[in-house]
Amino acid sequence: MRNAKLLERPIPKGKSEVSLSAFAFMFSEMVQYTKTTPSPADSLSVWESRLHKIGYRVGTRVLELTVYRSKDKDTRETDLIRFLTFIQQNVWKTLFGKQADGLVKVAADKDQPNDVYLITDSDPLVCHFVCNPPEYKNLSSSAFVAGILAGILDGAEFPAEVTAHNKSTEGGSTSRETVYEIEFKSHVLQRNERLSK
Amino acid sequence: MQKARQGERAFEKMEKISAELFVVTYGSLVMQLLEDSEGKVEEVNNELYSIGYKIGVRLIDEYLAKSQTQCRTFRDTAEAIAKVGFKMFLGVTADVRNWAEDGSSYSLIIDDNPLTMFADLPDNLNNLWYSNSLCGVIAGALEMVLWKCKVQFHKDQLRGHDCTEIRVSLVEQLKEEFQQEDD
Repeated sequence: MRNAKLLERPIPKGKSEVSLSAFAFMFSEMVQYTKTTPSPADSLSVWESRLHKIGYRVGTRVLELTVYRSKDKDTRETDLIRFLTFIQQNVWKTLFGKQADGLVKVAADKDQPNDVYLITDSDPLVCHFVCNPPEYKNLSSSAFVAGILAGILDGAEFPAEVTAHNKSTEGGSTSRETVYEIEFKSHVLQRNERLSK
Repeated sequence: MQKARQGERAFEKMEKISAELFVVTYGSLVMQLLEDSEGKVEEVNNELYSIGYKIGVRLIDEYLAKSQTQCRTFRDTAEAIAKVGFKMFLGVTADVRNWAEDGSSYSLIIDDNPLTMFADLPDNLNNLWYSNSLCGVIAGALEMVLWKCKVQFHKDQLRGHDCTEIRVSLVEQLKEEFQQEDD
């Protein structure tokens, strides 16, 4: 192992900052890179899934960091709602410097067999400088953040499908509000019900 | 030092984001590049450089707009990059050392490269210059202000060297070309 000192260094407190521009430039190049590599993306969903994958790796690591720094680092969260609240508050704060705006449960109905949870962010930092050209107007760059969420949930044993929906791409509004739809795997919901009894 | 203060002032005015999000995202991007290139490290080095170059070409505009620096000579640009540019975008400064006798090349020594905050290189990636994008950014930005340079990593603490050193060498000073419009 080359960088032996890395493991000897204390875990950083998480206060260091870089400019948003640095991130925005890199994010922009990342979006463009995922369009063409390893092969030209033949659909928006392929493109978004590549961004999702990059976000996923970020998520698993951010989970470790945030849990380590939280007050309850000695216990593993097993309750679904408490964990989602942890994401909405602590994880969002670690990543974006503020809490997510809302956490909502959409109850199951005839179209949707399981409960779905929505985390809302009225102004995602990541998409601050993103403006989709008309031919890609439905591309959701928030697929990256959805990937982060998926990584976090998987890492904490709450596997789920996470997709991002931007208000601006659906319905033509200029709001940057993004909703992250979390659909847990059935066994997670069943387990949660069993544990809460 | 005046440039250091300019750097700090510029950084204060920038909108900020968690360094960790930035750094972990960069790491994830490097991993994706490695996966896509099927382990061809030289290809990844070039891709990182190219990504950095495209960033640099756009970053220079923001740099010029938000910093108050004026560079007349190649020497000025060195201090500007190290103390203002690095500080403004990455929140850290670099040192300029090892000037060549004819003043055409120098080294940027970075003490605490934020990009490698959580990174460690496995043995099979010994030839990877993890932060190669930085070289691309510097080269791209300098070329836009008419300094065509060769920018490459010399040493990287990630590779076990004693310091992180980027070597910047002036290739030529470009002349601004104006298109003659036929009336």
